[in-house]
Amino acid sequence: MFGRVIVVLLLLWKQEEVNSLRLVELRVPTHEREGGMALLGCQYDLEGDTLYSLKWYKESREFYRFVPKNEPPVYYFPTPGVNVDIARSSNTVVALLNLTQESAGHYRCEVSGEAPLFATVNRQKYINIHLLPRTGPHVTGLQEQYKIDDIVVANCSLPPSRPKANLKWLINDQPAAAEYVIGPWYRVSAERPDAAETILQLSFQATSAHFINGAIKLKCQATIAPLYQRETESTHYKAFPITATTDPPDVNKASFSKDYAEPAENSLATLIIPILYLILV
Amino acid sequence: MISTKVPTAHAQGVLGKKAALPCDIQPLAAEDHVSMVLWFKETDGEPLYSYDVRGRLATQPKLWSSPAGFGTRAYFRAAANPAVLFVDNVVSTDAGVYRCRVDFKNSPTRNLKVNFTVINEFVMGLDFKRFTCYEINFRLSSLGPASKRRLCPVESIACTP
Repeated sequence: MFGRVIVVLLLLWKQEEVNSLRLVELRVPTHEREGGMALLGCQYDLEGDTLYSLKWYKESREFYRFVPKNEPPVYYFPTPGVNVDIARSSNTVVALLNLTQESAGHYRCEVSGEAPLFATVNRQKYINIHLLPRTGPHVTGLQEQYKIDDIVVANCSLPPSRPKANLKWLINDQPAAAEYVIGPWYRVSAERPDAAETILQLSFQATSAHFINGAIKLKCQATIAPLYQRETESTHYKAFPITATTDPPDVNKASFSKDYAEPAENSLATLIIPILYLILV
Repeated sequence: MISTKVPTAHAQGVLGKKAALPCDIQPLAAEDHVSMVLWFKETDGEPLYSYDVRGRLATQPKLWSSPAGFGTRAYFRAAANPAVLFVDNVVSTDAGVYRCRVDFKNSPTRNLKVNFTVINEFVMGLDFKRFTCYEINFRLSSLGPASKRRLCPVESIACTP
């Protein structure tokens, strides 16, 4: 008896569940870049109901509406930072163009069914707008070659961004030791007071351990999560102190001429070229 | 879910009496007009009450009050200024935050919140001093003079006489 009642109740509950309008997914990016565009998707299941209205709000302001019974069904309300591309917007998607700092905020989709219930569902998500740097990180101060005991000093700077970028130095693909790194410093941009240039200095004394196959690989990596990651890499060959012997300078020359070669290739070259040289001589 | 920037009004009802929940439905532009008013409790779901004037005269709206909400106890008076949702025979479970959504023909939708509190008239008639209510009253005064008088009797139920 009780079991039967429960089954009937479950069926009734299920029935109600099936018949009510629901918001399936609000697809709104968490981060977008300034100057870019964004697609906001609002996927709903009418579950047999008829659509009365679909509204998009930024914060509490409605900026787009789709009401099938209206003529025209689409209505757009100009809102700061919200430039709707009407041609690419519909009853499930709105396209925003030319995103600016003002575009950041909560975006809410609200869907209502028809009379008599006017069942309504809404959901919102926040969009962060990042200003990405014009170029990748720029490294200055490095020499082409370094000797053991030389002081390696380099500045890595990244053009203005918002939020501030995270800069990282890597030596031979390993994060540089904390004592090798100075900074970061931030310089507020003159033309964009909301953005800042990021600078990180690398400074260390070269030891033989830093040279892998006769070279140090230095990399400055810039990250603005989750939209941006770029790096600048350079390879610096080991210079030998000038001595009276004849052979080592030749070895040096050979390794420097291979400036852009892979370390493995390079080590092979340092062996083969002198041998060839000797044979030819 | 609703953004915190939605303006909030305060309304109060007395148990068993008639209460009024205000909602300004006056369009900002003279040539605009209301097409629909929906009342929700909390944020969404099925509205408790709807006032539908799409393609109708404002004097002949289609009114609907959810049996799961106020049922026959509610009536919307659009002609009042501001418009009000009258609720008869207030019960304690009527208390809560309501949202009134006003759909206009040509301008952005207006969403207003009404924080509705319900008080017991019986407690209101008591001598507050007996309920050592002064410190509570004092604490509440930071909320503004309106809350000072009306919230105290409800709070005082928890006070020792």
